[in-house]
Amino acid sequence: MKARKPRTGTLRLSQAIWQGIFLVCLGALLAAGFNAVRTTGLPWTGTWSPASLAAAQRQGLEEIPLAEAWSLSQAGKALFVDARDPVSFYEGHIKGALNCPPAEAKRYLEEVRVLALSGLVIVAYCDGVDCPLSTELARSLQQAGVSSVRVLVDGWSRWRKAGFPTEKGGS
Amino acid sequence: MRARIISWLASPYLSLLFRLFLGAIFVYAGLVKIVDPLGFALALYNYHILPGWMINPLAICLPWIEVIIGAGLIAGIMIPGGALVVSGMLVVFAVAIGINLIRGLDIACGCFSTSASAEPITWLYVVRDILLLGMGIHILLFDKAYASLPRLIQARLPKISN
Repeated sequence: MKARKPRTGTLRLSQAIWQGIFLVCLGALLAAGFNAVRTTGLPWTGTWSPASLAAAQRQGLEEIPLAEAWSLSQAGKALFVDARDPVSFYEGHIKGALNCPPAEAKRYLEEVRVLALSGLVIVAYCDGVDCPLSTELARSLQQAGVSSVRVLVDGWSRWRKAGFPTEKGGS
Repeated sequence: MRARIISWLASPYLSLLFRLFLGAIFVYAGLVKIVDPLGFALALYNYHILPGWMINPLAICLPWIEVIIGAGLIAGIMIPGGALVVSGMLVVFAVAIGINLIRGLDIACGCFSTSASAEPITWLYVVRDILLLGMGIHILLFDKAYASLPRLIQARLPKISN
C-alpha cells in the first residue's frame, strides 16, 4: 500500500519547501557577492529614518537655515518656491511664494531663472522633514542652470511655527 | 463536459504557460531592481512596514531571489520550490500593498520600477498580485516539468551514452 503513494501532496510540498529554501539562499548569496563588487552597492546596515532619508536625497543641494531664509526675505533677496500641490498652496503659504510643483517646474523655469540672475536666492520648500517635493524641485531648477537654489527643510511647518508672515490664495 | 473543463484547467500545458510567464515577469522585475538598489530600498522604506534595519538587506537580496527563481521557472529547474517561493512572495506583496491602501498612503509600488514618482498603488495592483498568485499555485499543483531543461537534456543523454 505504502509503495503506491510516492508523490503525494505532502511529499511534493516538503520537496518544494527544501527547494525554496535552497533557491532563496542561492539568491541571497549571489546578491551578497554582487553587492560586494559593484560600485553602487548598499551597506548591509543602513539607518532608515525620515530625517536621514531626506538628508541623503538632498545630497549635492544646499540647505538654508530658517533664520537665514527669514533674513534674506526681510532684505528682499529671496524668492520662495512652494513645491506643494496647488490646494495646499491655496490654503496657506509663505508670503510672496510662487507655487511650483516639481511636475510643473518647466512652466516656471524661465521666470525663476531670470529672478535668480537678478540676484535672488531661490528657496524651495514643502512640508515635513521627509517631503521629497522641495528636493525634487530644487534639483530640476539646479539642472536647468539656476545655481542659487537652496532647500528650506520642513519649510512650511517651521516657517508657520516661527510666526513668520504667511498668506492664503493663489499666486 | 465538466470533466473536460477540469482536465483543461489542470492541464500541465497551461502550467507550462504560467511557468514561462511568471518566470519572465520575475526575472524582469528583479533586473529592474538590481540596477537601482537605492531606489528599491527607498520604495521598501516608503511602505512603512519593515523596521529600518531590514530594508537594506532585503533591497540587496530580494531582486536576486526574484531573478534566480524566475530563471528557474523558465528553465524548469526546481519548479516546485520556485513556485512555492513565488506564491509566498506574491502573498506578502499583496498584503503589503493592501495595508498601505487601507492606510491611504500614496506610495509607488516598487514592483516593476524603482522610481518614487511612478504612479501610486491601487487595488488593481492587489488584483494583479492575486492573479499571479493563482498561476503560482497552479504550477505548484499541476506542473509536470514539460519542456524543462533537465528533461530536455535527459532526453538527449541516452543517445550519447549508447
